[in-house]
Amino acid sequence: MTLSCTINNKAVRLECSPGDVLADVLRAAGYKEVKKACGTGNCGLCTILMDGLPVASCSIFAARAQGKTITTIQGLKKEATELAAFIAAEGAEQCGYCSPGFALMALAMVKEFRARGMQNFDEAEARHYLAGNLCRCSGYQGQMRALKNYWESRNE
Amino acid sequence: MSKTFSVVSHSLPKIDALSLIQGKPAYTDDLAPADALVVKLLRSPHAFAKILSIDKSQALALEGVACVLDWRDVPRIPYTRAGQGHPEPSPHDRFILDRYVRFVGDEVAVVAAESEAVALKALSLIKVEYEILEPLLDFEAAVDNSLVIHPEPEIHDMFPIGFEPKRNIAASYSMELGDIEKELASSEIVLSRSYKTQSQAHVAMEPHAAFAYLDIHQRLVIYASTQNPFHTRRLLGQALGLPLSRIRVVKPRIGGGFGSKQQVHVEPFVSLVCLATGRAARCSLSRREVFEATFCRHQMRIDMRIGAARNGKINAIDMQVLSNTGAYGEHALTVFMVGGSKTLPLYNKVKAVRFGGKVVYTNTRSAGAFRGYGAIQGNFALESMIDDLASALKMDPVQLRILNMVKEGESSEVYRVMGEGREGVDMIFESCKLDYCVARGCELIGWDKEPLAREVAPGKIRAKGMAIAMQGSGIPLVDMGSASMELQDGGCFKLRIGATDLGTGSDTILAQIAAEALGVPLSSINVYASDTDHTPFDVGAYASSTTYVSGNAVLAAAKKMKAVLISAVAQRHNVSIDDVRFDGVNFFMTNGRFIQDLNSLSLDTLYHDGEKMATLNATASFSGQKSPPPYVAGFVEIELDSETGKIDVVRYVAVVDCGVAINPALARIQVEGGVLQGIGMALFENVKYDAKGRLKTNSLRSYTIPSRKDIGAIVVEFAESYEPSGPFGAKSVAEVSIDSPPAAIANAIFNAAGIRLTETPFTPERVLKALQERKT
Amino acid sequence: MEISCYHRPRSLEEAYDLVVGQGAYPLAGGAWTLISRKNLSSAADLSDLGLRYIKIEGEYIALGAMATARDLETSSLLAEAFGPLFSQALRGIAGIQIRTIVTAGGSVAGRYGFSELLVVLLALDASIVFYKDRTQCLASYLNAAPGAPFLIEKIIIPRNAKATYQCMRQTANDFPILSICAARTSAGWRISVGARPQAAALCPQAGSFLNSLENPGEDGSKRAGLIAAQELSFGDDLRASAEYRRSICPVLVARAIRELCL
Ligand SMILES: Cc1cc2nc3c(=O)[nH]c(=O)nc-3n(C[C@H](O)[C@H](O)[C@H](O)COP(=O)(O)OP(=O)(O)OC[C@H]3O[C@@H](n4cnc5c(N)ncnc54)[C@H](O)[C@@H]3O)c2cc1C
Ligand code: FES
Ligand code: FES
Repeated sequence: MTLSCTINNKAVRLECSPGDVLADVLRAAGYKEVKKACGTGNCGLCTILMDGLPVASCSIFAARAQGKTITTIQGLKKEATELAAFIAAEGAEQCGYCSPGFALMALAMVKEFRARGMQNFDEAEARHYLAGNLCRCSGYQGQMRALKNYWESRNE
Repeated sequence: MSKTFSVVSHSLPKIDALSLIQGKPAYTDDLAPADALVVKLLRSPHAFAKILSIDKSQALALEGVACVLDWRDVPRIPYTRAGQGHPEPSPHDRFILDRYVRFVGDEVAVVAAESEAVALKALSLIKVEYEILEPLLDFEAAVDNSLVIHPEPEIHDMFPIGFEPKRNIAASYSMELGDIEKELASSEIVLSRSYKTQSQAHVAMEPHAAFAYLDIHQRLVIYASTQNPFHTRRLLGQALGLPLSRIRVVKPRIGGGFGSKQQVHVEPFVSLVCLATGRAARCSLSRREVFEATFCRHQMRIDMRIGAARNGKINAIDMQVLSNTGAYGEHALTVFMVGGSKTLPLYNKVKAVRFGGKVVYTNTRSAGAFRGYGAIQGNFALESMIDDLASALKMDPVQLRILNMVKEGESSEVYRVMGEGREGVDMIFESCKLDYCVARGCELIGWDKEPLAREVAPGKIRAKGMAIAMQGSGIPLVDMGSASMELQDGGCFKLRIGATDLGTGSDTILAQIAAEALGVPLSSINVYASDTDHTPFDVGAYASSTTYVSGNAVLAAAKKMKAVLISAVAQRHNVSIDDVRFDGVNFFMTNGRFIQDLNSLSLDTLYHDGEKMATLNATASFSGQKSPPPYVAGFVEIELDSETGKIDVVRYVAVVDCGVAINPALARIQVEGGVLQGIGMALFENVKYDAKGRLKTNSLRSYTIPSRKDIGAIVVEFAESYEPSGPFGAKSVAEVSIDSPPAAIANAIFNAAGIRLTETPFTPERVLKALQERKT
Repeated sequence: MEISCYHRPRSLEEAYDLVVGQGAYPLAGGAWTLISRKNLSSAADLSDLGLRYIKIEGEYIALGAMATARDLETSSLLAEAFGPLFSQALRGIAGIQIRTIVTAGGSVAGRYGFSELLVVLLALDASIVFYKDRTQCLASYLNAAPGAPFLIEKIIIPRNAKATYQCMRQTANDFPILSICAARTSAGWRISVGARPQAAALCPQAGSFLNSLENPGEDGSKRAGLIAAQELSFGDDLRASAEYRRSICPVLVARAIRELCL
């Protein structure tokens, strides 16, 4: 079947079979920023935004993307670059393999927290929001420091 | 001692950070040629079986299948998958494909097809007839069992390692310093206990991946997620019977290693397919394959005895280990030896110390290298035992350690006698700030401020515990690294290193070392690493060697480079080299007179100097005479739910002596990550097999690694320390960080409830059971 | 996996015909279906049926079959009616990127032992509305053997109950080792226990014991917990043994009751 959807602000058509997993279809189409580490919905590395909401692309049928707007970290150039600088400052990307999914999820979180009217960075809530994004290298502390600094820089 | 640096000791961002965070294609599977054949592996469903027949006809008939290979199609050359020095301390006890399969997941056949779907379909069409053999699953029953896992005659060790396959023994070793029985007998207090650790999985986020193609010279080029490209090349040459001149191995970015990529797991198969078909071939393992068919930590039973005087002086320590290497013997001897050699020197003042044991084969997945490499297992046993002793002596565990632990300027007989698979080296510990680490850790955790255990709510007990740990910095006289530098036009430098950045940031810190030594900014150093054709030799990233060994090589190359620059300037201007100074940008005379700048020098030597034109370059190698240990004092505060047995880590404090941290931010992340991996082993990462030897914890759904909600704060501090033999005072940090949590948490549980957990992980169920047993 | 014939019905009627009439596999979030990797000859994707809602229907709150776990977790309607119950119970399901996918209908249809949602719905005495026009209370649905194909339209929950939730998990995102919901409904106490590891079950004896008390208090909560542990069966799985589950069941039940009486 052919899917028509919008990926990173570009209308695209993707060939796939109805049983295909979205993550595989995206990677095959060149969206290498979508990483896959578990394939069972447990690690969050394959996170994308679908109509603005974060979903694990390894756990959803590609057919679901029909007519949807999909965003990967590459589609959020400006915010991603800004956040990346904070992550890099902490060295919180160690191997970096989890970073694209983490950064995308973090940006979704910041947007949602702002919409809720959160003023001060609530680390416990952030840990909860990001709990589905595993990282085996960093111990998470650096990621959380980076996010706090990023959040505070936006407040200024 | 404290020195001021301009590039080193600064927390600079990693040179590849921004690209990686934004997901630029950088990892092996991102880079594989689109038209490469997809390689899939047919794996054994049985823990032990003989293959009677393989019918590939249906698979081969499927459109899009390029080849199907089995044991009949590969050379019968015994080899080892372990990436280690040469000759390998691991026995050559496996073949690329064999007629026998020895664990669930062992490779039976290799399929290559035009697409993943076709390859998977082809796998299902291969008909294999097995003679199912009774598997040997219990490692404690392995020695001299009537079931023999490796009867094949061709397998062998490369030098004596106690290899006795007929007895299911992959390696064995023993040593004794002093008279252990006599010292124990004359000790006022003698304790003994047995400990067990599970076969933790690495769970590097990037699954093992490789692709291979033939270049225009018909040489085999392999891109692989490997920690050691040079060893990989050598192992492939051995296994495929190919001259090394025909093989090139390249490591792109890799998504975590932790030891898991110190072995070849997919490289032989993509190579086979590429050689058989002439086509590019790619393979990336599924998570399930990573769990079932790549390596894990060696499961161990450690029997400890310790003897001390009433005043707390430890007289004797005896450590006897039984280690499970699984179906094959990768790293069998060395991991097991590190269990003693990187723990026992912590208590270097004992009158007698004994270490020994066996590493046995079973029909479970193979064990291999894993961060901590035996030390974490040994540390759990030793440091639990020390707290037991403190309790028996009614002494504070910290005081007991201070009384007995290693101090700066001392040495250790154990370190001299035991190396990794060979003799160790005699060395003075010139940098050891363990006393500071312990004192500072006490402050940070509030050791003396409040009792070690207190009830904070009904049934909820907050308690503290601690452990100390050490590791090494490379393997002395075995590990070697090299670097080569060249001045390029524009006044920048090419730095080529064989070292392997696993995401640890070593490309960055090695560039920092070069920049510091030359006095130039980091941006002037262009790093190219880990390519057997284009970078000088390096053993690779393991044994905590990169900063110390490769770092020293880079430092030596950069110093040479500077000398070469100065001598070039001196010659061009007809002055003595002793009169020329370089400040990173300009060359001056000692009297302050400006000579020329670096940029103009680069242009002169490459474009303007007529028949004298030459590239300015320098190459250096380093192999350690010693392996200075880094140290850590780990302190933990836990909360125990005494009604359910659940343990929460409220806070983990790690105070680390890694010498000078070349990049403090990156060193901190290493420690934070290592600590959490250690906590994972201590609390969460349970491993289960079924009665037929099938791994049940074979996905991230069933094998639970800690998420960011499963940990409170991790507080990391570095001791001010300077290792004279290290590059700019550095030692290592990668492994030592993982070692302390199991013992520290076990000790905290003991302090909380008086129960001694002797087997990792401390699941709620095990804790509750111990609580219930204490009551009755 | 392979889906030979993929349908995307536009109306409940059409979906009903595919699923019940022709035996097509109903596809909700699909997350679990993907993990189990079955090949399907025919699948009916329920995305376009307008079943993603949470709304008040008289005395009930209705959860459309396609409402996601994340919808339930963040629903202000559910929060008003039941406080943090749904949010607390559902936030342990994997990460948000999974909770955005998985559905109420999928969890109920699957009768998964690990399901937190079932534990909560059972304690709240919810009923399942099948298309077309058949309503069955969840308790009897869970007791009945899975039979002929069906299409869940929505789940309805009486609004007048109060309930609390407790669970034990290895890591924050893992499946529960045991999960408990204690509810006070118009018909009295209802205690349900899930992840035994079998699917959620009620503890009628513990319920009637609690009904006999004015106020459970510390002792009553503990007694009720012990009764619950006795009347249920427990099993072993990867995460824990039956004994462990039996040992912590009274603890968690008592905690849930205590919290509810606060
Ligand atoms: C990584 C991960 C972790 C998880 N952790 C937890 C956890 O901790 N606790 C927990 O409770 N759950 C957990 N789940 C399961 C999840 O909550 C869902 O229950 C599960 O995924 C099913 O929902 P779905 O929408 O994906 O269903 P699908 O896969 O689409 O369907 C599941 C089954 O229900 C049937 N079905 C779906 N909708 C209908 C309908 N309207 N009518 C009739 N039949 C229908 C389908 O045919 C199928 O048989 C987890 C899932 C994942 C992927
Ligand atoms: S790969 Fe999708 S969640 Fe892990
Ligand atoms: S940085 Fe390696 S997994 Fe997160």
